[in-house]
This record gives sequence, structure tokens and C-alpha cells, in this order.
Amino acid sequence: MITIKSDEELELMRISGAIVGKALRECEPYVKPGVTTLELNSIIEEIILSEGAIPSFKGYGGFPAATCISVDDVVVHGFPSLKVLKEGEIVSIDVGAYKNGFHGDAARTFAVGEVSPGKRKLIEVTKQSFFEGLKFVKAGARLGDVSHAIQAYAESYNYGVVREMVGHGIGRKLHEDPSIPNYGKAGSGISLRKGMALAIEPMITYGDYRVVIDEDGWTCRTRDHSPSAHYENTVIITSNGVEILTL
Amino acid sequence: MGKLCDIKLSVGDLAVSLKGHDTGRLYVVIAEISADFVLVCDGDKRLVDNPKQKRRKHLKYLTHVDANDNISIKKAVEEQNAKRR
Repeated sequence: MITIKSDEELELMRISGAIVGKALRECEPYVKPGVTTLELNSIIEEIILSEGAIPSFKGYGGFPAATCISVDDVVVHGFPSLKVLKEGEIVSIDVGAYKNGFHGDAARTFAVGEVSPGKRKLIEVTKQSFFEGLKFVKAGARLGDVSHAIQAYAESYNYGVVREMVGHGIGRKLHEDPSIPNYGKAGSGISLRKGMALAIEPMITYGDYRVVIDEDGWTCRTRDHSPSAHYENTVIITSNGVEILTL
Repeated sequence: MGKLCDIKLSVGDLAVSLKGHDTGRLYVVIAEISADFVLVCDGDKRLVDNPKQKRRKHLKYLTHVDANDNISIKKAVEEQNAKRR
């Protein structure tokens, strides 16, 4: 069921979204060679708790940590661990915060030190594909238009678009309807309406788009071990168009 | 956090049956025959020359294996079974 949020509810979502945005901005300087992903997780968890919010992911479906930290070929849902980040890797950090009954959700991919031009381009294209999709997010548009725009932009660079993982509606629950694939036909899908809150998240791979899930049941990595990037924001549809809550 | 949607099974995927008298049994997909159906075998009761037709929605993807003959399929299924226990 797709929930339509009232103006008061959207105001509460702005608060959760702002906390997620702040956590991601403030953790960026710490992403450098030599730091472990568990340390990054602690930094972000502290920021979220200091704002009076709760990490959305901790315990969600059994997920053990406050953030998903995915390095190189891990697309999403990587566990923070004692793995030390090395120069040249790319790391995707996915953060969720729950406050006043509403969730905010966003992700960024950061470069660890100097990375190859190919990886840098992948991060740029992933980010831009989000904004290409965002152009179609407005009341009255179809969801398929958003999906198609993301796919067309990413595939124009010969990158793969992950099929198994999709974006989602967000609100009182972390994962609400509708599912928002990053691929699809223009003009298809549900009509978007004012008051919807969506987490749009292109997951783009350098090579093959197919992924496998590790035995832990979470870690999702590319089948051909090519690097992958992730960019996500929580957006709401208002009468004036669209608003990004987690920048 | 990305939401996991139904994984579209393709050839070489190892999956577990969710529905039918064979619920819980592991299979390897050896052919896709339509948008709804695939052919599966386990290298033991169901061999490559006598595969079983299953609905995609009655299978849950587990992992991808490089197996295309009875011996390698049986081995992959047994390995996965051992991990599950």
C-alpha cells in the first residue's frame, strides 16, 4: 500500500532526512586509507544518536549494524567490519535514521584516496543518474519514467544497472510501496502523487549488472567482481515539484 | 537501504523450491522456457535429460553455480545442502 503523507508528516520526514544528510556529510572526511569500516559505522551511529534519532538499519530484518558499508564489488548491504580501507577503493555508505516515527534513508559512494579514472567516472555517473531520474519525479508523472531515465543514462556509459535491488517508498516504515526499479519502460507504472515519499537509489556496476548474495544473506556483490557505486536520497513530492530531504 | 526484489532466475542459478511436494529441495536452473517457467534439475532424482518444469515464483534464488552436467549439478547441490545444515 502506498501511503500519502500529510504536510505535518512531511515536516517530520524533513527532520529525519536532515539527520541522515548531516551524518553522511560529517563522515566524509573520515573516509581515507587506514580507517576500518567499523570505525566509520561508529562515527555515523554516534552522529545519529546525538541528534536523538535511532539508526533505522540496526536490527532491520536482522541487519547487525547501523550502516551498510560496501567496498568495491559489494553493491549494497555490506557489513561494517575490521576491514581496513585501502587507497584506490571505493566505499558506499548507506545510512538510515528514525525519529518522530519517520525514517530517512540515503547513500553515497566515496573514493578512498586517489582512485582510478574509471572508478571516479562510475561514481559521477551513478550520482548523475539519480538526478536524471529526479527530473521526472513530480505529481502526475509515471514511475516508469523515473526508472527509464536512470537506466538510459547509466547504460549510455555502458555501465550495468542492478536489477535485484530496487528503491522504495519510505515513511513510517523503512521499506514501503512502491518498489522503484532503476530500469523500466517510460510511461509505465503508477502515477506519482503529491505527498509520496520515495527513496530513489541507482546502483550501478562497472561491468555485468548481475549480482550474488553472500552466505550471510545480506552482502550483495557483483557476479563478475567489478566495482559498483550507489547514490540514494529520500525525496518527497510536493505541490511545487520535488524536494530532496537528505542532501 | 536497497530493497531486495525478486531475482530473475537464469541458467546456472541454484534455487530452493518453495512450493510443491518437493518443497525445500535444491535445484539448478538449466533452461529458461518462458517468462513464468524454468527447467531445473538436481543431478540425482532429476537429471539433465529429464528436467523438471517449475514456476519461477515457486523457486527462491540462493546462489550462482557453474554447473551444467549431472555430476557438477549434483556436487553443487550437495555442497549447498551441507552449508544449509
